[in-house]
Amino acid sequence: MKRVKFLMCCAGLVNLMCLVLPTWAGVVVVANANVHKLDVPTVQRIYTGKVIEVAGVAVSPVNLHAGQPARQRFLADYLQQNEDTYLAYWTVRRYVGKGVPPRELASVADVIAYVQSTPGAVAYLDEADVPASMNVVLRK
Amino acid sequence: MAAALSTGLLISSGSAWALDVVMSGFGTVGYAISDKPYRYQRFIDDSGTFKRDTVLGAQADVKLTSQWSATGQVLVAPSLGNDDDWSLTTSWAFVSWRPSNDWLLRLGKQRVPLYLNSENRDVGQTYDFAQLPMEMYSISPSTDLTGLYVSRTWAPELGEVTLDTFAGGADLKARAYARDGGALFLPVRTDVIGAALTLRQDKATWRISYHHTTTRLQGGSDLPSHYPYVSLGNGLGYYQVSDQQPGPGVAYASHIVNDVITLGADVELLPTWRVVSELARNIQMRTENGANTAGGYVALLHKVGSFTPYVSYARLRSMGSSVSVVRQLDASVLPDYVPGADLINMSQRYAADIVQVYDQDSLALGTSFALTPQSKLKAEWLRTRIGNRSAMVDSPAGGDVIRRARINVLSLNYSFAY
Repeated sequence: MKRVKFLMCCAGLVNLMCLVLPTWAGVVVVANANVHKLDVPTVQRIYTGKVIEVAGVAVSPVNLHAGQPARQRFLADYLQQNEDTYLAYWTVRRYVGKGVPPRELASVADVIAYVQSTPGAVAYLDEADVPASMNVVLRK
Repeated sequence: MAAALSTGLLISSGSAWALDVVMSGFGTVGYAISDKPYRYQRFIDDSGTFKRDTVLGAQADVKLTSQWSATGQVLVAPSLGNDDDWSLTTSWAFVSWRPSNDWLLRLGKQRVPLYLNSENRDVGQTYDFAQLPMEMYSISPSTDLTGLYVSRTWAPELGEVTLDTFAGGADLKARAYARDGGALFLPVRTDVIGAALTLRQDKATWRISYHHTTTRLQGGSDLPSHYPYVSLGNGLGYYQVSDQQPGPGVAYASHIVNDVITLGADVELLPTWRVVSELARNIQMRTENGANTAGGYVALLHKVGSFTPYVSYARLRSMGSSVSVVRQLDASVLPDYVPGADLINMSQRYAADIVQVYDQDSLALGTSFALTPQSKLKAEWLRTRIGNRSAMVDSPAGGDVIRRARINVLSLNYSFAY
């Protein structure tokens, strides 16, 4: 009986948290229709400039501007980095002549438009922002 | 990156020929002062200087296609051709072709990976040292090269392995300093071929490199390679350092050859502790009068919030015939009663001074402070011990060579990169 009460209390607490806390949608990796499914290591290598093509398709990754929540969650969940470490990585890479960081776009709408119109485009979005027609290539 | 000065100019997009131009900038404003009236590391004395570390740069990266790009970088820094002026130079101007994930080819003016921080040496924001240890980073007056660079990358379980190979040349000014003549900047042509093997792991970077360089004077003159001893009898004699002097003749070489081998490691021992070390052996051939050296440093860095304090110890020492040549030239003094003794003594002294001989070690205590992710403030106390002599010290005119000395240097730098 005590066990049932405990479980009911836990369930109530979870329901309460769902009401009080904002909903955190997962971040998914999206791409143009010509890009096939990706895995986490490949996404990591795309966003660190180590991969420029996947399965024969030249990829063009884009980032949201620094500080946007979806970007921060993408860096943490997929790259195991934060803004500072990611910026530091690209600062060194740029100044050793190994390229520049992915282009940055200002809004979700810009990202969607870019991905849908650019062959090889790779990006990330909050799952709640992903249009039904979008090609989701990785979901953690 | 949104707050950066970098801007992206999208000329056209949506095709394989999208053209992106990304501008970026970097710089260091650095002040250094020593406790000695004579100059150390070209510029530092007890009057203080901004010239040792201060540099401003701008870089443009142009992405032509997914495989082709071009990079240009200009620098404003103290001239490498004299000690007085500042100069605007093009440090990078190359075209890159990346035909696949694993291959990178670059053609043009670029920098070779002689040190762990060769390519980003001018971008102080990318490392924590107020100044990279000169006992290691003075092996060559410049690591610029105009030529071909081919890089191949593998990704085994161990980490990312990169083999960089390169070949090309550079017109440089090699600085020497003589007590009686001041600074001398010899225009030389250096041709380089080499390779660097780098292993990058999550917590460590390891590198080994080999560089074969051939150096000749611009304009076709030969380099003196051996000064013969001319005996005058009764225990007197001198070293003939010029063909204007009596003697069998100075030996010359059309070019000199250096083989430089470097080892480098940057390892995270614990989550906030790093040890960084580099070693170099510079083997010089075809002359007795060159910089035949062994050097390196080891440094321990500890990250505490925005601070990264560090301690480093560095050593640079000449080896082989150049040490004995300089010692013999220094010791050879003709008495005044020998006709022409003054001129011969002065010329021997001049010849000794311009041979690049080093015997010094340094202890540095410093810290960097990350003001923002893109800027750092750095402070350092450096204590250098000069042994027999060091070509990094400009010994005062008319006096003896600075030896058995201790030089204290305080540095304060602000570095940024956008």
